[in-house]
Amino acid sequence: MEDIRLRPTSPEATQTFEQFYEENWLGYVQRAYLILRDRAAAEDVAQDVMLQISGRWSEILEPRAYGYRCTINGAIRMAKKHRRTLPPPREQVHGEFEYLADVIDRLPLRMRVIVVLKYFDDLSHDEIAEVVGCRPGSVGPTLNRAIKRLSKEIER
Amino acid sequence: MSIESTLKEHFDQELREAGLNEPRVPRLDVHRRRPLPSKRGQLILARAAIILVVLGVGALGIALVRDQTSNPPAASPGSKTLPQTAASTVDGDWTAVAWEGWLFQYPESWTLRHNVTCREGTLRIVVSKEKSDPCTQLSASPGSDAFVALVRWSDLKYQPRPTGVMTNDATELTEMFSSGGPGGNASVVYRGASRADGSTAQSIAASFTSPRTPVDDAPSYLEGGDSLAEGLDSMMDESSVVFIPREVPTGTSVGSLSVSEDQAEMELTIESQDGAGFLPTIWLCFGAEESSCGPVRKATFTRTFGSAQWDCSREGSALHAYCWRQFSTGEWAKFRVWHATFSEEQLDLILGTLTRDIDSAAWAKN
Repeated sequence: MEDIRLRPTSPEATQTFEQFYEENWLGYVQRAYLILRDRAAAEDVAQDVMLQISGRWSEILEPRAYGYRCTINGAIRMAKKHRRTLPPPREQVHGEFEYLADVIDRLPLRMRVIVVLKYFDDLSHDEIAEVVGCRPGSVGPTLNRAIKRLSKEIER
Repeated sequence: MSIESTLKEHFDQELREAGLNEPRVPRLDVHRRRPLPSKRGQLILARAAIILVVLGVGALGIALVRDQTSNPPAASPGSKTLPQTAASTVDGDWTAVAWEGWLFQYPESWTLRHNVTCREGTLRIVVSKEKSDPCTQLSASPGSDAFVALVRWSDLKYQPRPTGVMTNDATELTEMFSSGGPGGNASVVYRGASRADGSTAQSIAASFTSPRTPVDDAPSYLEGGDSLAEGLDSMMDESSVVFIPREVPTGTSVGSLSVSEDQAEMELTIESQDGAGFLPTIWLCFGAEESSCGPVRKATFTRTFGSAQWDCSREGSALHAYCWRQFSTGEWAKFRVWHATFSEEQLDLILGTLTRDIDSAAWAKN
């Protein structure tokens, strides 16, 4: 795992933690929400991330990137911990949106995370591999499988 | 439309439906891993690093010598004066019944003061932090701790709402009541991290419950607006928290009370109701009689959950009260109140207040 402190001075160096919090809070919640599908849980993850960052504010040179990775990892951890309850079951599948959401929900966790990172954040395969901690070569095949599965379900 | 663009749109819609889409936060950077240099490159880098270290040490030495000879040492920043909060107040249309419960859990190095004002439609909370714990003498550098606050507010179910961040010594949270009126409640949850000792706090919760009686029927002592507020403030001022890992069985409700010459102990175990609520609040118990440690009057619960044990004692005019409470993290918090030197009248008022809302309490005993 990369040591974020190896990075040279970043533009965030002059930022205060309050500014950082204001700018990034929602972004972290959004990412966690797309993985967890539970707003309260997503906010918990983001809170924990902010706590981690605030405790090491002077040490972390790239808090934004660090927080992003912490958020994804925190959401994965929480999803594993509460895999029986998260994401919450949908009451009824009515329209296209609900149907697709249901299909995404049923993807394996790791696959779902990779789909979110790819199609929400437009990360490259290398970046995705770095965030989720896998080999870059395994990202493409996982995405392909996810797309195939989703396409198949959507076509039904 | 391709599946990729469908997914992009879908995620945006997911966030819209969850109320998390505004403002659209740009793509967050991911830190790229740099490729490792070759062996030759590593050797060059190592040599360069050695040269830099040697030069750096030399420069530092020269700078130190210059500093000592030409400049006086820089004055150290003075100790920061921490804001003193006013007495806790409960005013407006909300009566003292609002103080149904307080629960504190935070690192030992923190002492927090809360100044709460409840008015119809608005809950205003000012939290300030003191630099040391009077009990453990652990000190935290003023301004170095940080915690984020999260207000969970609703009648029954909690709706987390991030409200702010505190990085200095005080923060103010203002929440509008979503429904108002009697019976509502709010919990304020702080999550903290202390840079001084590296510890983190799971939460601090304060519950407020609106009066169940009309304002006109509120006790007359509230008119003065000082006795209860001062009493509570005294408690808060001299309270501290330490974590005590211990195991207390859970199971069917069992209550017992033993009173000796100088100490009263009450143990209570309540059947755990997982998921019954978030961070239930347990009140401290107090003794008010001169002749003994003071019988434990009442203990109230806003929700039944986990286990609790009280230990109250009274030495002379000082009242000591302890409350243990297990949190969802498994930690035990011991809450202690020192020198709550209330007058009998004040004690009666406080106890009367505390015991007013215990119709649903799991246990109460004189």
